[in-house]
Amino acid sequence: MWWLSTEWSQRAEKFRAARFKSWLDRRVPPAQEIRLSHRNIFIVPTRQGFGFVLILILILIAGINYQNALAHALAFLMLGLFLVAMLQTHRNLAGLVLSQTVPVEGIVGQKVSVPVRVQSDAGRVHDGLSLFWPSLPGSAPFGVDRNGTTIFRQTIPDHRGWYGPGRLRLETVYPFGLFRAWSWLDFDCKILSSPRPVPCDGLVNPDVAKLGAGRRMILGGDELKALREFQDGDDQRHVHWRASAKLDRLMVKTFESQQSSSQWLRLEDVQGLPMTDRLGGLAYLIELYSQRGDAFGLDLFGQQLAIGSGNTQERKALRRLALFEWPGH
Amino acid sequence: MLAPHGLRMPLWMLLVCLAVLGFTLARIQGYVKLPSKWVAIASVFLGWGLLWREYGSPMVVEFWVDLLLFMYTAKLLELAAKRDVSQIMLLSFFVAMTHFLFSESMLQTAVTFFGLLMVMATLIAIHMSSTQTQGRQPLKLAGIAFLQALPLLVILFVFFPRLSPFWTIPLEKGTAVTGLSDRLMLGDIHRLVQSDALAFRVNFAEAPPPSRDLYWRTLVLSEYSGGGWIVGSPPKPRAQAWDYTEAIDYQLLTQPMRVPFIPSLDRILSVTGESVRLDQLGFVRSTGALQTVSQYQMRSGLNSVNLTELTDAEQAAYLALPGTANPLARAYGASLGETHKAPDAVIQAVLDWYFDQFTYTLNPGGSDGDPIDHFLFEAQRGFCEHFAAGFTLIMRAAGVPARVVLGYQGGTYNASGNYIEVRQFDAHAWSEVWVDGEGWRRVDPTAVIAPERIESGMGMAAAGMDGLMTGKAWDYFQMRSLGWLYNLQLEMQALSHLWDRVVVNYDQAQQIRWLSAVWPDLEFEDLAPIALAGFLLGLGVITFGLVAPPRWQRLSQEARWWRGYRHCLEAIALGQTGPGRSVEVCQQAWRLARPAEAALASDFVEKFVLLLYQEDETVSPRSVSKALLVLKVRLAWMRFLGR
Repeated sequence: MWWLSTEWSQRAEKFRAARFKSWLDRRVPPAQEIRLSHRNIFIVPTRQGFGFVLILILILIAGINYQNALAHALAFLMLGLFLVAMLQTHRNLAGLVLSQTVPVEGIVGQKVSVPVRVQSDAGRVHDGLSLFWPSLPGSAPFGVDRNGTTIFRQTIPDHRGWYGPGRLRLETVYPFGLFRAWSWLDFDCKILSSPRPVPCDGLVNPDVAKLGAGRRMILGGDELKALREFQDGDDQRHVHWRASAKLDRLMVKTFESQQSSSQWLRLEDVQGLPMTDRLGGLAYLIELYSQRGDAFGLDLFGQQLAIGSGNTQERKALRRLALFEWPGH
Repeated sequence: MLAPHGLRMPLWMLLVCLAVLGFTLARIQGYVKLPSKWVAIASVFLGWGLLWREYGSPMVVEFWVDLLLFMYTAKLLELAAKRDVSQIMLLSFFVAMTHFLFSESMLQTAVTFFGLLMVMATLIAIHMSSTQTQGRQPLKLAGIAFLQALPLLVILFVFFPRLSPFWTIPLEKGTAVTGLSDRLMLGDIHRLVQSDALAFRVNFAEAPPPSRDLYWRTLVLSEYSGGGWIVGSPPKPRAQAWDYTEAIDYQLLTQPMRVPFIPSLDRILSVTGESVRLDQLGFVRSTGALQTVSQYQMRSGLNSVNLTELTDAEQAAYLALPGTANPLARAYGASLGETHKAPDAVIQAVLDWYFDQFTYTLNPGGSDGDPIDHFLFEAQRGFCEHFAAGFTLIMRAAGVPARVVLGYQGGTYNASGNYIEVRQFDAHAWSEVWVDGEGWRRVDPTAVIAPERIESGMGMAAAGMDGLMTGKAWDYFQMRSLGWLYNLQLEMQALSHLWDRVVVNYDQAQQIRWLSAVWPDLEFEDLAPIALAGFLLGLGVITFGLVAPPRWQRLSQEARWWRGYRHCLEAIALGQTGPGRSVEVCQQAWRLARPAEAALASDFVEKFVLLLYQEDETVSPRSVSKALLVLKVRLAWMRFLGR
């Protein structure tokens, strides 16, 4: 029976989810800065809100039954409060301006903090707000005053490359907890995530292993090729102090790279591993090298990153890994 | 939220509630830990059982209310998370409703609504982020929310159609209510006389009659039974034909009563109100128990004369003296009947005897044996009920048809509210004697012995009998002797009477009457759409205030002033002043066009320029707003005159 098969319901679920997503994309289009108004705020009573209405109805029935004028009045007061609660909860979100403009980089499987700027457009005080990704709920509520505030929210990239963390949920039940107002925020935020490092001391091929063992020899005995001006990210140990003193600017030594292929971290050197792990192995090595302050180059099936060292080199290399596309894919 | 029930509920329950509250406070301070959930469950079952024992059956409202309160309190024992707090807060609203089942006074309402304000403030406090919680902030926000909800409350209260009950549940008030009972056993009224509880209040259309004419007939006791007088089942009278000199209209607002009889003056002609009717004997009866404050519109004829005669059955019934109790009184009556043939003479003889021999006192002392004989021939001390019971007995023995009437006499006039207020200590008993050609004639033997009781009410009589009156009523009269306090009390009573009339007693009839004063052809069916429309209108106003577009909110004060000024100007000087002109240029143009009008604006312009461009600190923004307002009003007036 087709209606008994779970596949059908799963497909329906998927269909609904896709429909909802496309509807939401039209309703609350992705933008770096989002201003909350009646267009993008959703609001429904909470469980307490429904309880409140139930009690309201009971009180009204009791008032009618006992012909009690004040019970009537109480029921009407509750109705008034209920509607005021709806408007105030809505107002607590309306007029907020949220933006996310700073680029963020992360590593697959590790928490990364995304800064979100929250400001009040109308210069009001908003309170009891919570901002979270549905996959990582449970953050403490915060308030916003006239000066605005910056909130950091963590997410965990689950794949390499440009990772879209999905819509952030901004939610509030303030002030009475009778209504829940929320919005789904898409800042068009893309987190560039590099592969998760896989320790590969025992996995690297002999060529690379030799590099580890002969490191000191290479550093000490490698022929000095040229001097060039210091750039951000260069290793301080490579500064040629004597030349720097003479020229009155920082000079660093560069080494003949062709001589030792072992300084190149090559994708094909990491063999016998699944594809993702090979990139992970490279990520591990890049971290290792830059921690030691060693220079290295990256060679991904011919896509090369020139030899260099320091933080800039590490970031560049990790970015390459993040965006690397396997030939034939 | 428990406080208003504190005095009503059983003592043990009050103690348990206080204990739980104390325990919870100790827990918040960290002295004790949350008990296991079994303690809470056990306490609920225990409370259920105890309450069942207390009230005897679960079919009483008090049982359910107290059970609710008990569980409400016991919920504190398992208070752990935010959600529990929210639940308690929601329950508070229901508890608030139960307050109104027992009392609808103004004080009760104020206390309850203040409690709810606290509840809302608590809700705000638990939802605030901890960094921003500041002392009174939640209370302030809750207050604002209440004020915003108020217009909707008023609109709905006035227009929401009052429906008839879906079903009825008896609200047992039982002995808690003091009032007349349906029989006269000597000593009954004495208990009433000690009570200062309010019986009813009356608004007269015109000036109220003097105190001595205010006999509020409530019920008639037409059967003699052993030791006293009871309502009995009097025979049906002939079709009534009345003649009266004067008719009087009044509005009676009764408090809950023990018996389903409603007081009325002299000869009641018509009555309107909920579930009420006139009985054959000319008394007002309610078809249900009087458990709430109810209002009746009445019309009575004064100095009435009955043109019919008693039927034989009536004659027999009003002369019947079954049994043999009080033999002395019977013998005395029979001998009087033989000496004086005419009823008038018999009446006069007894009244003379009363005047010579009897003393009015609220402390007559007890008796054994036949109470009426004891009173008439031994003690000769008593008050209204003794005089009336004895008098009626003698009348019947003498062959004159007679009956006892219970009710209230007099009342206190409240000048600030223009109404007469009758309390339980105004309870009174008197006789009615049948005189051919005249009908039932009111004879009040008390008036002969203690005329001040009748002329100026109970207070004066009591004042003359220092120490004889006890209980709350005595406190009431003591209070009266303190001038300003008594006046204050009168004001409070007038206010509370107004509250009862306008708010508490706002029912379907009231609603139609009030609203049809504005819309003469209003039908009950029209109310629902009107309520809905008013409600939506109110909602719209609130919505606009709360979520108005920012350009309405962000307009600066200066811009508003400028706009207000331009608005005054636009009618005449539109051509000369473009949008970018300064105030002074506009003013110049205005002066050229209409010097008289522009002169009015000079004050505003001067202040505006001083504040904005010269930053003069002596000019406050408020004074500028005021100057603009003055300008607008004077300008409107000038243009109105000029037209």
